[in-house]
Amino acid sequence: MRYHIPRPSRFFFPVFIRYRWTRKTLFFVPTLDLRDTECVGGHWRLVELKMGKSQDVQVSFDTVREKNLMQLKKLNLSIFPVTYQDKFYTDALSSGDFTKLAYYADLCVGSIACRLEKKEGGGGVRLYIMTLGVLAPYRRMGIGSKLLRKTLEQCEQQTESPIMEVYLHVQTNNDAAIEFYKKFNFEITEEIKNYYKHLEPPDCFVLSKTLVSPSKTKVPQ
Amino acid sequence: MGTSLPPKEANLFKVIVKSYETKQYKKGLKASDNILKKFPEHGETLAMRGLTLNCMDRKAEAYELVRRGVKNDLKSHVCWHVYGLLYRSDREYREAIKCYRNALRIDPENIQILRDLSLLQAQMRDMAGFVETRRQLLTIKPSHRANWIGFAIAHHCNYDAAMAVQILEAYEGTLEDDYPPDNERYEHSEMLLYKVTLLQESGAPEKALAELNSKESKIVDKVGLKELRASLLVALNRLGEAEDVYRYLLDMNPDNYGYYEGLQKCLGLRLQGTDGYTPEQVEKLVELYTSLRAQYPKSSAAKRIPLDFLQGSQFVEAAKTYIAFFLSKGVPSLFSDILPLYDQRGKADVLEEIVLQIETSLKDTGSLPGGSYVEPPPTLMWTLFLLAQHYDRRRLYGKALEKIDEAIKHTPTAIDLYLVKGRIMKHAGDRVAAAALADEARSMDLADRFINSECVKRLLQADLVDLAEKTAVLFTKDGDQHNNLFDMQCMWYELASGDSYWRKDMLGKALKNYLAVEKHYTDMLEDQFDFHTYCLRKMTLRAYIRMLKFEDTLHSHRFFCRAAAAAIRCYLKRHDTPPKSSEGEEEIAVAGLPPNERKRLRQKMRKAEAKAKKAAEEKAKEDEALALSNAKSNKKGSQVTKQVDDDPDGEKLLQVSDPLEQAIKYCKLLQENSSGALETHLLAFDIYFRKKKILLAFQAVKKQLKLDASNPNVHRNLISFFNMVDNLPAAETPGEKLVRQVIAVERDALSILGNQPLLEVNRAFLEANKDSLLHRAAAAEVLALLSPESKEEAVKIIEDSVNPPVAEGGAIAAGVGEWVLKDCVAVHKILLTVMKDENAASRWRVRMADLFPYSTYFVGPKSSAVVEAASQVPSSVSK
Ligand SMILES: CC(C)(COP(=O)(O)OP(=O)(O)OC[C@H]1O[C@@H](n2cnc3c(N)ncnc32)[C@H](O)[C@@H]1OP(=O)(O)O)[C@@H](O)C(=O)NCCC(=O)NCCS
Repeated sequence: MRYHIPRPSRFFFPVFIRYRWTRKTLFFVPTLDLRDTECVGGHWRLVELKMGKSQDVQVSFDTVREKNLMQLKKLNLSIFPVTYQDKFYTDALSSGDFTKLAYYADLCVGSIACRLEKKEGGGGVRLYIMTLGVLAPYRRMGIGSKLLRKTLEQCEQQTESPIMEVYLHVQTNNDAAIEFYKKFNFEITEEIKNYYKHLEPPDCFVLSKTLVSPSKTKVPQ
Repeated sequence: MGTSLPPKEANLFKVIVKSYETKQYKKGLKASDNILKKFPEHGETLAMRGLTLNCMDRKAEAYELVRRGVKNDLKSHVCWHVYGLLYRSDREYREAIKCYRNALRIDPENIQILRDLSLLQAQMRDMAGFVETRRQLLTIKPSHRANWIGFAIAHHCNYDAAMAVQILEAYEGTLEDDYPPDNERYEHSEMLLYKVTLLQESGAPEKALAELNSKESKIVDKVGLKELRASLLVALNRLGEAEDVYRYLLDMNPDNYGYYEGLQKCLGLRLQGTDGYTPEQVEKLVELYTSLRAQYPKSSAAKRIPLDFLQGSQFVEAAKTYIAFFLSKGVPSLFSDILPLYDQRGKADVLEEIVLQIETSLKDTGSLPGGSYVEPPPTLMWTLFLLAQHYDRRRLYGKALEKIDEAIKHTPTAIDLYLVKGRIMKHAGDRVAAAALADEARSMDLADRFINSECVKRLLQADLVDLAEKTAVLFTKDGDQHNNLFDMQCMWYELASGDSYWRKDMLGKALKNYLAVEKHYTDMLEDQFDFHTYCLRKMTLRAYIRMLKFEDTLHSHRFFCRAAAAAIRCYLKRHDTPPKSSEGEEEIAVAGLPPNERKRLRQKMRKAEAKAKKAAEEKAKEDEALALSNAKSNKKGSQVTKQVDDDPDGEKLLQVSDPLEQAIKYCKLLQENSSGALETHLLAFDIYFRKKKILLAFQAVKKQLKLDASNPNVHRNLISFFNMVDNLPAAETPGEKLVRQVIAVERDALSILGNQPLLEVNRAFLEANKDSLLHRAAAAEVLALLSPESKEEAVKIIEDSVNPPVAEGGAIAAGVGEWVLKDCVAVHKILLTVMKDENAASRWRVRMADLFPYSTYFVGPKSSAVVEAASQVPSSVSK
């Protein structure tokens, strides 16, 4: 049996043991956790969670390089209705750590691709999320969140030429994505008509999040 | 040495010897110059000078000098020894042995020469001589451990294990009680284990066991010790004790199948014959494995083995648990793990049902049948993956593709899916699509050597040789690219590219590849030379004996047989079609294909090869630059950095005066080492038939009849042989007459002919095998041969064949026809080249296109020869 002890989070300290072969995930939760209504004071309680829910999946990350670029292409082809041109991939390759692949059970299932931009009118840098996507069967498992959170954390850490803003375009009917970004305190700042040439509806929102002072940004768990 | 010289020159002579040993050849030459100035005919100096030159790649001079040396001083053991060394360096071991023997006649106790001689004898398997030499060495120097061991080994090799034991015992008698010292414990332990195996081999398991027990404390390899003990106990029928040992071993490694087998043996649960286990045995086995599984819950072997013997509902239950478990775990190799079960009646159907149930359950509820947890998403993907391979095995290619496409849609980043899809395509007959898919897989992980190799193999199968080569060298060392594949003895590559050139009718290149494989085997034979000394020194005696046995059967290895057979076919073809004026390669490659495919293939080849060509040009430039810089860096040219291949297309290999003579050379190797293979004798027949060696050809036919009298090829050979004999001109010489008499007598004795006319024999053969396509084709061929005017009837025999559905319960899905693509292609070629009936051939093609819709050869409607999707053209190789 292999154990994976995650770093304790800020709110409570679950210790989970992932029994790899059966994929049963056993959580040991301190019963002092205030959110637990069935509090049995002073003892650890064993909770069995169903797979497929947020905290329990193990995801690892890799940067995009020449040798695995095709994985990103395959993901995009399957997730997005737009076909990306070579420019997209050269940007992705040159963005360094800001473009990432997410691996689940040794399979590449999601990615985030970003581009750093100088803000117009001088002053500061902003991050444009070109794509963020997870293969359909692997959604609602927290993988998208992990990718975005990791990127936001990275923005925080960038102290030299700090990143003031993160923004992206999203098709106006993409409720899932809008919901998703709202959870991370992104706000709709603009609607652009006829942004997409070949999609229906052709309009998009600009979603944006200001990183006021990088050190004070709160990242939701 | 150098005794006949005055002191100053004698010293110089020592310098020569020293310089030779330390590889300071220049110095040695200078010294020899100085001696020869005064004594120009001094034999030993001449010989040593020759030996030195030999190391400087001046062979011709070397031989001349050494021979002169020997002639001038026949009584010098030095000269003879040097002569022997010279031959040895050229791997002329027989000559070398002669020289050493001459040297020993003069100086019988020369240890160095004796030792060298013993090595050669071991290499040449002159075992009697080996024993004798080893005996002399031991007599001269009994204080040397290696001499005792060597003597024992020699006896063992000479089939006298008992004697070898005695020698080892005598040797042990010379040792102190507290032997061995700490730094020799391993060597001593190996010697002891070797002795035990010797005892075992000489039919004294009791003694072996006693020896093992008494020396236990001195044996370092504890696992080896236990294994040996267990097998000895079994041999002595002390099963209870053996069981204990096997259980102990299982405790250490519960995934070793050998231990389970041993344990079963101890419990009387051994598989008898081919009938499988008796019901009582199965009952006991179930009990045994239930407890073993409880004991070793993590062992896969304990879970897997029962699937082999369980039947009926017990099998269903066990297989369900097993498959669900590994699907959930996400093990891509699950299919190859359960593949052997398909050969057991009925199990394929059960497996299909189980996996389909899992699929439905996952799709409906998200969990496994009866499971209470939602499975992670990959489980469904792996289930589809397994199903695809399952349908592929059952020859339901359409369904297989459906499942694999669904899996790809689910997780398009899983590389294994593309590899399997490629494999399915290949089985279905579309090699181009298979190559494209393998290339797609490769593009998804450019750092994976395995996928790269798989891709190369597929490209070769699709006859895109240049592209394949370019892909292959992505993983070889830079600079010396193609040679590197040869140096690495990359035989699968050479065989596959040979096959590809063969299909393209580029015989020279094909032959070159096949002979490269043959060369590797010769090299392997040579490579054992160093181990004769090394193993004795390191005392790895058991491994040494294993290696000797391996080398003895080396040429029966699969790869060698394939290469030799293919090389023979190249020579045969060369004999049948002597070179004409050179035609465009492309024309040859596309010949024999239907016209529309011809065009397509041409386009494809142009596209792919134009790219490759450009790259090749670049590479040539690079190579040139490299060679130039190399040449600069060692101007003296004392070292040959890179051998230039003066026959890149193998044309010289092919331009032999008598190709059949060459073929015989390889055929003899096959006859010596693979006499049990039908193909050996089929080839022998093909050669001797063409050579008009009547007796040898007949011998081949007889061997074939013995191995498989009902084989269609054997039938064809049998009849065409006697047809040839019947049509020979009357015998003239007494020799010829004798041969005819022998054949006539033999013919009467052949029951398969039953004194019937050949046409009648053929008719009976057809009647007896009328349901088999290949037999019908053979009968048709023979009919056309015997009576050319019946060609129409012959064609009809072929065309009237029906494809019978396979029986239920087998690995192949019920209802699928028995015919396989390969055979149907062969039949098409017979119609085209033997019957020369284009109409029949094209009727056959249409019929087969229907049967094999993915086949490019028959231009099936679903093959890439018709459906030309952009993604199916292999993408370019990018680094
Ligand atoms: C948007 C996307 C990346 C989210 O990935 P994900 O791995 O499923 O996201 P998470 O599991 O981390 O979801 C985090 C939270 O976002 C919200 N969310 C995500 N998908 C949602 C949906 N379909 N409906 C409502 N809320 C949703 C939920 O609040 C969710 O938390 P919960 O599961 O605990 O309720 C994924 O849906 C996707 O790939 N969509 C297609 C591509 C795309 O549209 N990308 C955005 C444009 S760049």
